[in-house]
Amino acid sequence: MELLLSPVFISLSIFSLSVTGFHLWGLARASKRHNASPIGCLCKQGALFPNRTMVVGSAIYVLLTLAYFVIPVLLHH
Amino acid sequence: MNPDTIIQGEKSLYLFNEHWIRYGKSALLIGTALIIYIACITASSFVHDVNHTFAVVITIAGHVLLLLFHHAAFYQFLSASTNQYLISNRRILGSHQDLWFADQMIDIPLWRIRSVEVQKTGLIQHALDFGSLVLNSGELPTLKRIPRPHTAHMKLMPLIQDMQPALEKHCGSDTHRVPESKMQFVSPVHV
Repeated sequence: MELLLSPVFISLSIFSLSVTGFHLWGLARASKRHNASPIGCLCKQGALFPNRTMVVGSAIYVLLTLAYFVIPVLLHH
Repeated sequence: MNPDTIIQGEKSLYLFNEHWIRYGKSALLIGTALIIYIACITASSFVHDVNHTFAVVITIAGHVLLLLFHHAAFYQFLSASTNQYLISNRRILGSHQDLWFADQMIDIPLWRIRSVEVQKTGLIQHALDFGSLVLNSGELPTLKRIPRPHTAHMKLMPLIQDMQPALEKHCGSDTHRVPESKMQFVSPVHV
């Protein structure tokens, strides 16, 4: 618990979460760009982003980021 | 959506993503991260009895490396998942986006395509059935990591052949020909 509450781990966790948020924001922007592009306009429902791969990938990304806060502490103990 | 980006009478015919091998780099990064982290934890447990502070430093260093590789891997994954190609009855469209650092769109009118080469190089490309479509011997952007490239080639060829009259008309128009009256005949220079 000491390790988890240490300033190093708190700042790492906050930084890590903000990087995740930044990447997901980038994905949202890329999806918006893609949906407005000729591919998005031509295919409409068939090619709209975010697709299933992106949603599942993002969910795994967030879950792993959260898991990496806890794993070091568990291993340390 | 902006309908101005669509050519009149254009229809989408074949939409496909790049081959799943595009996620290979992400998988490699995740694997490397876990190996480094396990190595750091193992080293930390060995050092723990001798020097506790050093063991904590190693644990933290391993954690930092794990997070760096983890974010790099998912950045690669999410960027790669945006790569897509579309063959319409008028053109080939391709989208390659990096979340923050790049945004590339390929737009090749079919009438510009004279030749299509299917390229599969190496054991991995043969085994996993993916390759590249080289247009006009590399004069136009090459479509990379195409799954089942021979199928894509078969779908593309009839469309290109339909476009040939338009190409002939374009090349054979009078605007591109030099009138005979303006032709200059240069006599050979004698030394």
